[in-house]
Amino acid sequence: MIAEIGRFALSLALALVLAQMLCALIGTRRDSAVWEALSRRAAALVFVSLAASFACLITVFVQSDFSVENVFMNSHSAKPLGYKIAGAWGSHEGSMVMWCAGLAGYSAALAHFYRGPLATRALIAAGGVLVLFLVFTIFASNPFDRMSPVPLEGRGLNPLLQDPALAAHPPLLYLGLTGLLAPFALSVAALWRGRSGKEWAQAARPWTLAAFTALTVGITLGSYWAYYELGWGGWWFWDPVENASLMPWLLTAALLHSLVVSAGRNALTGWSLFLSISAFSLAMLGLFLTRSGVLTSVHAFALDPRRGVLLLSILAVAGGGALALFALRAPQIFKDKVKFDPVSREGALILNNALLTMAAAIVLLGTLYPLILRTASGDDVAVGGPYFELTVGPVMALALLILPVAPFLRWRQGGWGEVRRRLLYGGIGALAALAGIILIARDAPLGAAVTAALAVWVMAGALSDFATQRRQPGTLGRGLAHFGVGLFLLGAAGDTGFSIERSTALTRGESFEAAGRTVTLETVRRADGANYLADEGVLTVTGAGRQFQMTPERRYFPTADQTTTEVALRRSLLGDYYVALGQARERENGEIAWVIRASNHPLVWMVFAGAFLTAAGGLVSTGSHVRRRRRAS
Amino acid sequence: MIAVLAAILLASAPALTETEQERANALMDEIRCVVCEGQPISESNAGLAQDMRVKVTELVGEGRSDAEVRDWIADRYGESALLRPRARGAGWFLWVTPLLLAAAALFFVLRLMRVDRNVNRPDPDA
Repeated sequence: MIAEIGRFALSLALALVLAQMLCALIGTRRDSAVWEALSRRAAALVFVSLAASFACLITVFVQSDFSVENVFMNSHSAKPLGYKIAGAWGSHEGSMVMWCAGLAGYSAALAHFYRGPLATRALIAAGGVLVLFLVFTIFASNPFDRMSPVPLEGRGLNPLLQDPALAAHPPLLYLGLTGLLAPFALSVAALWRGRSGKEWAQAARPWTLAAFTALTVGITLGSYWAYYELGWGGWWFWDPVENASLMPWLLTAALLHSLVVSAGRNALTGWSLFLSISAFSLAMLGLFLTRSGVLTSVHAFALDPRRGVLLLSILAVAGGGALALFALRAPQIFKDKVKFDPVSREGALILNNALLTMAAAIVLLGTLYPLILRTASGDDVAVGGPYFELTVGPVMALALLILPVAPFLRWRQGGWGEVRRRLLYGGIGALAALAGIILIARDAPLGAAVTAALAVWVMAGALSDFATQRRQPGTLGRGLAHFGVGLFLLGAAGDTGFSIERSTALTRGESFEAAGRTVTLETVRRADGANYLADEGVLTVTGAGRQFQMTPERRYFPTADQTTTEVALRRSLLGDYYVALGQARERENGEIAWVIRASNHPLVWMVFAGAFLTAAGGLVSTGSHVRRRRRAS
Repeated sequence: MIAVLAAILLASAPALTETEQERANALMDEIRCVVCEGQPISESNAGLAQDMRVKVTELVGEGRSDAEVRDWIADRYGESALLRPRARGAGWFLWVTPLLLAAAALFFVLRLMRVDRNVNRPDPDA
């Protein structure tokens, strides 16, 4: 019964979106406040309807109702309650309902916060996108399909996904990606109306900041999960699925900086419109990449080519349509002739945008080129971390070099005076860090030394910005976000430059040396959980004047026939000590030995803390925009 | 970084000097384990990855250059065994495009900046 309510709510939402678009269209044509109000009411009901549908999906997962095929495929009665709930968005179909609910949420929020011709047209654009995705979900990807005969037990959720950080990762990522619908819809509305400028930019800013915040948290959770769950201690692999979220993140970062110029100075508006459209298009491209099965990687769990074609068509219609509108109408809007000195805040923000966009374009190239080549000519080429580090690395380094300078440049007029005064010590500190690392740690890679120097430069800039300009509105969010970037860089420099890993096979009582500590395998014991069997290694780690026990696990999930590693971490301010239990091997003399992998990860907590701080900065800025808006109205 | 593990597992490979070992490690980070999903051979436990690590160590020990090692791997295991594609064949596009992008970005930035520098008069918006 609940599944049928969920299915009905999806169809009801589709009917309501069409009503939302129709009312808004009539309202626009007749300039009628009544029709516009009806459209806003419909937008709210669409969200209620989709939220109800999503709640129904979660309910059938919690009940373990295996007559619903999606529950049978992705859940198991022995799973803890939290992961039963997470199963609702663990599959392609379920995640599409969540995606639609997210889009509807932002469309309803647009309706709630804005009135007037721009907002009404935005409701038509947002409704159009939602119609495409709802039709797709209802007819090609419906999670409420029943099956018969009803199985007694489900197949279980991929055990790699049964983890708190990863259970929360998709909802936050989607909250960010779907949030890009708001600037997208507002851009389409602005282009349609043929008028742009400050009003549009001011409307688009808080949404962009909110989307950026959620996107940052979502990506960081995924990255943190990869760090401790995959057993390799890496937190960014340049995997296509990761790149799929990095591209919209880079463009959103570019957009929120270009909107500063558009909203404050009424300049760069055409460019901001273009970025808004591109950012949401890349979010849709990411959905296609991850949910069509076109990639085969650890992350890509859904395999169904037919759906891929449909998702690509949605991308072509929505993204391509908006870009075509941009090409037709932008020349009318691009008229703003701004005047500014190259050495000005406008100049710095333009450079920031050029570099961030370039980084996104290179990631797009490296992610799509192997796919296109394989499809077009059958040739195989692999693009991995080494390529991106070599190409995206220098671009981002340049962007980071400008970052601390921009807040100390004045609008329009040139002049280095303030920059020289406020960044002198930061500059000296950065150069000292660079020289110090190169001289003291000769083995450290140059990239790590440069990253550390940039970290000092960026953090010093943020502190100086905060100390000298804190009375200006918006500085707190900016300072937090930029300081977070610096902290992230310091962690990245420490972990990529100074991590040491050793691995060997040990039997009970044996020990080995790894990253400055002695690791002794005391014993391996059983540590089974609710839905898995597990071996737990008991290790004594001594060194650096300390001794402690670590207990990494190796879990086997019978329902999925899959093994996962649960690493053991010993955290400290200086970094993590990281051990993983590998496979058991029989030696020639019949003894069983377990592969133990041990490593240190200097300053790695800063990678995640820095990213969360950047998100916190985004949240503070969003809040201050909402408050300013409320005071104005 | 992880490639040190290779040194432990390698019984048959020749002993390398420290600089040779560093080169071999760097190469192992750039060569994909062709039976794994996007993992470099330095990070994989697969048997084939171990064989490839031995081979890389041998080649470096014979005094081959980085480019020669990459070519050797690409000839045997295909272009997709290199996580850093070579700038030839289908791979050239991947290296030329970022340069073109940089040129395009520079062009647009300069065009936007090419507004008259004499702007130190009162701001009309202020």
